[in-house]
Amino acid sequence: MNLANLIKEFITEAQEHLVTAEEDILALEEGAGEDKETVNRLFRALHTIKGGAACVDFDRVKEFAHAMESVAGLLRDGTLLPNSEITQTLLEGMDKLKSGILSGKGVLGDVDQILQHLQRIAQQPTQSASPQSNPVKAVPATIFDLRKYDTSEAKSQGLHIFEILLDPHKECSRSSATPVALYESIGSLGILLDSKPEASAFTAAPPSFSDCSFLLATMIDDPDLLFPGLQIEPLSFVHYTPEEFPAPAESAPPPIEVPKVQVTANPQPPVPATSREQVPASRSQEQTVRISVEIADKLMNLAGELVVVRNRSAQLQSSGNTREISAVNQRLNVVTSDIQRIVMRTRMQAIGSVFGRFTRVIRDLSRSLGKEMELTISGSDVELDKSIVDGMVEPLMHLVRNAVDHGIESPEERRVGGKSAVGHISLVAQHQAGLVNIQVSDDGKGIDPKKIRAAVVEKGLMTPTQVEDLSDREALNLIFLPGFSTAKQITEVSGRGVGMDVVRASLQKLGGIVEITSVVGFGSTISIQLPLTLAIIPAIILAVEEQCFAVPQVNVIEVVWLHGDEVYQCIQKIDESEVYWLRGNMLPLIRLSKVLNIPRSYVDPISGDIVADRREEAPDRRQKGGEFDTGKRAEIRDRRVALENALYIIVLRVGSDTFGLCVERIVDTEEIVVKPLHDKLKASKVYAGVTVLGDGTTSFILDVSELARTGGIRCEKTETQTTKVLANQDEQQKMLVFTNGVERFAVPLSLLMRVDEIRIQEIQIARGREFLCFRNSLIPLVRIEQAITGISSLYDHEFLHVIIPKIGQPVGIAASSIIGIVEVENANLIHSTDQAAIIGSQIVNGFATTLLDLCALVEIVEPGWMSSLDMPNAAANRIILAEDSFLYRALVTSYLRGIGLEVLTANNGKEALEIIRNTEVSCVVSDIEMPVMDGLDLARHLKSSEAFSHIPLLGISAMDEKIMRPRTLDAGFDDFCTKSNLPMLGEAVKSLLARVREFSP
Amino acid sequence: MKHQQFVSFQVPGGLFGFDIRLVKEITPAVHITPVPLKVGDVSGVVNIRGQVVVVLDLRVSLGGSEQQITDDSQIIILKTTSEIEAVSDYTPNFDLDYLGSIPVGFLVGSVGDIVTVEPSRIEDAPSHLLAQYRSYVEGVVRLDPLPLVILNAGAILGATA
Repeated sequence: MNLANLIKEFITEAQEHLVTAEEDILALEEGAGEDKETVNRLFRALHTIKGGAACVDFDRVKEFAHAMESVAGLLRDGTLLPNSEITQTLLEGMDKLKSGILSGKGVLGDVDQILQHLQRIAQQPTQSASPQSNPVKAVPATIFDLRKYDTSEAKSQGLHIFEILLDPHKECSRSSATPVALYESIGSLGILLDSKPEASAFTAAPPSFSDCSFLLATMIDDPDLLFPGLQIEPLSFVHYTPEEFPAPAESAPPPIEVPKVQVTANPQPPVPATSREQVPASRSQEQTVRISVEIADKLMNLAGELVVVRNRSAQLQSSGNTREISAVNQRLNVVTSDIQRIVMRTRMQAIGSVFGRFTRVIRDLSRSLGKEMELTISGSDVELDKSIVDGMVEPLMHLVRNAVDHGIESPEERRVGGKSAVGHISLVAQHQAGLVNIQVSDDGKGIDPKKIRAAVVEKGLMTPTQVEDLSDREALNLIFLPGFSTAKQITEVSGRGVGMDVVRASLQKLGGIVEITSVVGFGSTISIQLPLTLAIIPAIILAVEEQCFAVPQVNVIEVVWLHGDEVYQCIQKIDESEVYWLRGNMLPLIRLSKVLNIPRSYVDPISGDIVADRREEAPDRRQKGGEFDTGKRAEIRDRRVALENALYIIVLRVGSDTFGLCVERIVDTEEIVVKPLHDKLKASKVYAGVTVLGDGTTSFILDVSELARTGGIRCEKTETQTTKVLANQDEQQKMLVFTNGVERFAVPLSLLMRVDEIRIQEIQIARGREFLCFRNSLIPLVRIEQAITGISSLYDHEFLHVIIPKIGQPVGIAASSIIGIVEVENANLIHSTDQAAIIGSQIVNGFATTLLDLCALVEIVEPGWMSSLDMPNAAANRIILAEDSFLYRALVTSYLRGIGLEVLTANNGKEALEIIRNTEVSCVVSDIEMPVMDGLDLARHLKSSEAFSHIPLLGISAMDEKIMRPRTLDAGFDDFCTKSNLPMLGEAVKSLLARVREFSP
Repeated sequence: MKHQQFVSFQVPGGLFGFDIRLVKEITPAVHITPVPLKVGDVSGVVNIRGQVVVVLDLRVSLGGSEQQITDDSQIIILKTTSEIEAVSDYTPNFDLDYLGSIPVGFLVGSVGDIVTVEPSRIEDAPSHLLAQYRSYVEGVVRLDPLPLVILNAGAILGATA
């Protein structure tokens, strides 16, 4: 091993110790001085660093670490008690040490002051507390006078000297050894300078003396290692470090004066100093990952298994036994995914390694800024890919510093604002739907959207009208715009020219999304969503001409497949730009072949040659007219790739924007291994990485946001458009349509758990009722005709569809066939009152369709099956629902009754207000958009009235939650829920009701 | 003085050589995946046993036009920084970082012999070469009919990086 490698090893090792050491110093400062393990760990860490530094000839680092170690040693022995002066000095020392080591050169810079400081601290106690006062020592005894011995040899070798007092009877009986064996074993770990009694007294016979002492010079410098190594339990001992060896005249030489000791305790051979210059600093910091032996073992086993599978596959190759071969392939599949999973685990690192360092940051910042602060960390054990964890350090540092500098007020301001003087900052990491969510929050003054708006206009980033159109939430997120900084004054802490735009950019590089929420006076929260890993991602593989490209599935919202004439009819052209109307919303389109400038070609039907396609895109041709008439169009399509004359629109998400990417072919979806791009390829910009596909071809991973930019799609959109679009969907509800016999029925999709197809034979009969096996339990099968009279029951002889709702306990609802999912609008609903299980009927896609009241239906057939809520007081579970849409009112009422609530209904806010004045209700659920009096007005009325302000309000809307939630909460609602998800709405109501019960006696 | 060995190859316009210790492998120029919107001397990427290798068109690197890929075309794949570092007795006279951690290959017209020469036979590049071109040339060895131009891979990679 040459010096370069040695240094690498040293740096890797030292990094770990530096981290733990710093944490321990901070813990000491917090008052963990009582905890012996903390001090021990600190001592060991510094000691290991010292040893390592000596090995790699970092003399200055070694000296310095030694000085720190001496202080830590005194802390460990209890001769020195930690105080802020000591911890401060140690922390400053840690910084120097860190920079010295990580530079890879061992140059410390100016450390004399800290060194002196350390020495002074180290000397304080040595005068007052001589080794005798060491608490470990039960008997203060120095039997041997060290000055009588020649310690120069031991000193030059860096040996430590121990004076050990033993009970020979105890030692001999424990190890069932003779005194002579004891004597020899003690001598085995060093040089025995002297003993009392003399060596000759140790014989094979039982010891004739009651205690014995040894003076041992050894390379082991830690008594905790020495005694277990010798297998003895001394009554007491005295430990002399080489520096403490009494020179004839001096009594306590300063420890730093003897740094030239070669640490022989380390097995690494000393390395000639001449080769040191060959190590460039940049490469000495090569990254390493430590993995547990358990993982290594598992990998070893899997590797073994892989070999077995390979051998088996080789044997089968010639046999042609397809069944066996497919079995081997399956096995291979399992082994590969196992290996993949475990290898991924080796790359996973707890986010705690990043969070941990903020304890120190907050501490230092609170001192330098004169603010009091407390840091709460949770979710330190959440694991992320190492590359992501490493990449999070800088952005998080910036965010935390921002929170401290701009967020938290000075203690006086806080007291004036009625808050505790201590500011709180919290770092939270948690798993959320396959992503990791990291939040940095503070309880400071918050960010005022008005100020942001003003600043954006002032800086000329947007016009006043543009800014006014933004919601407060969107305005807040303007701080991520390049060139934005609200700090009036650039302080040293944050705002060193790096803005939030850099934070966002670096998080985006990690595949992260960042968003800010803030309440003026109460603080701000920045949430970051990150993928678990970047190394292997699911992707859609597309093809343009013969070349494949991968698009990460994270960016894909949906894929629209157009075929036949749809290709020409559904895509419209505005000037040179194409658009597609996706469920009524405009979707800008870009064609991959055009963006990537790939010449299109087709196979000439006569000659079979590949000919460059000079045609313009589809709509253009149609406009030319004459040349291609509709009948022929199918024939002249690209005959080579698009057999079925199709076009795929991949709907992609960039931030909050969407656009469509047109391709002719989707090859597959595949889990791809992301390989980094060479610098030469980065210049092309549109690629995020490169990968090797299953068939061995290399393919580029497209960077969706760059692709949009190259395609001319600008990705900062204002809210107004979105709101308008979403308002269209306000009165829509996704429904599952199915038939029972000849009639069509519809149920809200959000209430369904799953739809299964079963064989008639699977239906079980018990107590004259029909049951199904579902997840190992029997659930009743409900047939609609049981609840609603006059419905034909016409089922297939073999198969039956079963719809399982996710309300109450599971039941199966029989259906003869499933039509599909449609969006039902709240128009032309024919209200029916004669049948409890029916909400009404309506024309859906040209067929009369009956909308079912699921809860009522099940309640009729299986009384008591649905209601799981048990409430004592009628008024306590009486709620009022204000909603103008009949369909939705019926659905929500049905659902809420299903979970055991009494529901009163009102058509608008005014009606609701009337009812509330006359009847006691425990909760108000209100739509926002209503005629006569809308939900926001209703909320303001209720909250301003003393009699009703205690009633919890739940706002519901079909519009985007991001936009509506802040609005409704501003108006006084206690919670917000989207209309589309009934179970979530039910939960929200329940939790509001629970809150009421908690507060009322 | 020890003999030096060079991998010689033809690129339309001349005979060139790389120090053999720089070269990892030579592979036929097939299955090169083109790079749409490519920049500079990039020719494409190629999958070598699961490793993605960036292929640079050496003729473009040297200031010429793109080469047509023929049956004789080969890719000379260079070692990466860490692969060179693993060989303790060889230090090329350019910054190793130019080789990078992702392997790079040069597309050449055809590959010739391994040329073994005494260091004394290596001449400096003639002074009237274009300055840019001259910086790529480490030396010239007299061979017949064409002189062997020894290229400095680091300078080529560094120039367009």
